[in-house]
Amino acid sequence: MFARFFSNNPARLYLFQCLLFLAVLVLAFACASPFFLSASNIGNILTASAVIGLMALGATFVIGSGGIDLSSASVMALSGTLCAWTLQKISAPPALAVLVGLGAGTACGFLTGWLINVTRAPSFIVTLGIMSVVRAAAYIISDGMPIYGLPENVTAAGQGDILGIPAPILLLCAAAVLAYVILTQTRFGLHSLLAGDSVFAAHAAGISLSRLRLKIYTLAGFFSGLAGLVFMTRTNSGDPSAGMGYELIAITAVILGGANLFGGRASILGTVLGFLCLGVLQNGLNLLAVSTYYQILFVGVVLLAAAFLSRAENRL
Amino acid sequence: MKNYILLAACLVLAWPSHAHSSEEYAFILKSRGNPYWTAVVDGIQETAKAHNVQAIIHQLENDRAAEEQLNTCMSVIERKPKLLALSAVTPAVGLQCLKKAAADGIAVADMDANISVADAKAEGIFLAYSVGSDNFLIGEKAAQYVKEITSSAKLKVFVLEGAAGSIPGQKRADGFRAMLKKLIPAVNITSLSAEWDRLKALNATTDLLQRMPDVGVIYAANDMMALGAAEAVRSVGKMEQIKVIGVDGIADARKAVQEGRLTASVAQLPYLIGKRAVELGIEAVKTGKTGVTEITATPVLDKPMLEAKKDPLLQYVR
Repeated sequence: MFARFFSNNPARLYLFQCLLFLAVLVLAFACASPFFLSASNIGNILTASAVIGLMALGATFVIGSGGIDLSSASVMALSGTLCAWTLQKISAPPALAVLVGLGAGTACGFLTGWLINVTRAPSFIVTLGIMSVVRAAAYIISDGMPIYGLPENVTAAGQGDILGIPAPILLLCAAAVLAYVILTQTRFGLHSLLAGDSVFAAHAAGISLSRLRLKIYTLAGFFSGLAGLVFMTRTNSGDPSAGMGYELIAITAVILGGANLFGGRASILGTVLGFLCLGVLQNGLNLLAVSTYYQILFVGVVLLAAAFLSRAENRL
Repeated sequence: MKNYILLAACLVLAWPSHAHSSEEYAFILKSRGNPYWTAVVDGIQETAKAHNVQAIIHQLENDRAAEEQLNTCMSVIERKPKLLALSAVTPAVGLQCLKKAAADGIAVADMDANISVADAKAEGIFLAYSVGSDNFLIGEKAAQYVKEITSSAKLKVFVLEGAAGSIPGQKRADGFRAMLKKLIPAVNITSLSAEWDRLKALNATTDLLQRMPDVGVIYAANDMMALGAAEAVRSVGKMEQIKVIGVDGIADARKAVQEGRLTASVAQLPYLIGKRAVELGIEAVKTGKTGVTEITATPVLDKPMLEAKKDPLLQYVR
């Protein structure tokens, strides 16, 4: 029955697998720790997932179109640092600082897309270069030191709540809905996946790949910029070294959610499930006070188990 | 489907013994895999065992993982430990974490002297204690040692700094430069960052020795970089002329000091920091006392001192 239900729609199968995997993790941690299912802990999991989640939403478009973005964490750091710098060094109003931070992220994305178009080099190489350039820019702006002490009305956006729900969770939900609408309900979203599936088919269908790429990386830059603002407001600092290695975690979340690393298949729901799996895993291991070295081992083993089980389910 | 059921069963069965104890003491520390923090962990674990309390230890990916520290802190608070001691990645994150823990009725403390009792008080947080070594003082001690072992009035000194933005690294370098300029006004100091890394320090020193072959002293903000620099000095055969001084007093560095490859290391006694963190924590939980500041000793480990084996502080050098 399972085979028939899923054989018509492989994407549905991947989503189901990821949902099942998340359920397994939740069940296991709920049995193992009495604190896991408390409302405040669920809030902790979702808040902790906000930065990676926002980056993963942007990465979904890039991976779905057959590209890869290694610069997302650096862009995230630059956005937060620039926003904090604008707030503290030139005492700009918060709204302007937010615009500067978001604008920086979006501009970095645009630059990445433009460079990929101009050089015709693989996105892996271009984003690797952008990763260094942007990180260096963050260090230069801040003179290598985190910029502390932001106004309270700014940090409230990361540390406060609205109707009892932490603000980063609300922002993450809004961003996920926006990403879902863009990927599934717009021509741009469908073209992104088509380009990932087959560049030739997309070209034959009259899609301008250069323009499409420019839009995809700009959108990913925007999401990284948002992530940078959440990071900044949560930690009350514009940190130029923020999120080292986060780009790979974001990519892992997207792949865990069933996206094809080589493009053509990606879904926002899958990505959401993917980063929730990672958030639940990290939080659960912390709650169980699992030794740090075993935590690293455990995360690796569970991800390998997920990959193995996916392979088994794919035989349906 | 049955594969997932099997996985769930394995996960549940994997932790049958993680019962929650009401006498938990939680410690959130920095960089895992770093010898300094490994010694802190040893100090905590052995002392906790001796006092029959349960120590829950979390270590971060690196010393800049601000968001990871915040997330870890929030999940540790859910366990409602008796004490939460934190080595803050940044004061902002540290204060946010400690404020939340204190509001939940948990005794809070600072480890590694990142947040002072006074700074916390200004934020409405009453720290049980702040224990650690003073990084600025470490730099000053290294400078005083340089003055003791050198005679040149026009000394050329190379400083290897830690990663950009690291507060302890900055303080160690600042303390060293400030004191050395006071002691030897004509000193010529060149500084570069080797990001705490042994190989980067080796490469940076090799490059510098090309440009400044008459450098007299190399001061590195940690032992890993000092060991890298010492290798570069050895490869050009200048071990006699160039003094290399590190910070931390890790096992590799002590061995290098005894073998004459490294001149000295300003030890931080991380084992003692871990030990005192537990002892002060137990006292704070019992008595409710707050506001203790304890700066741990930082002896300069050179060859004569290590060979004499007489200094009582050596028992804490791990």
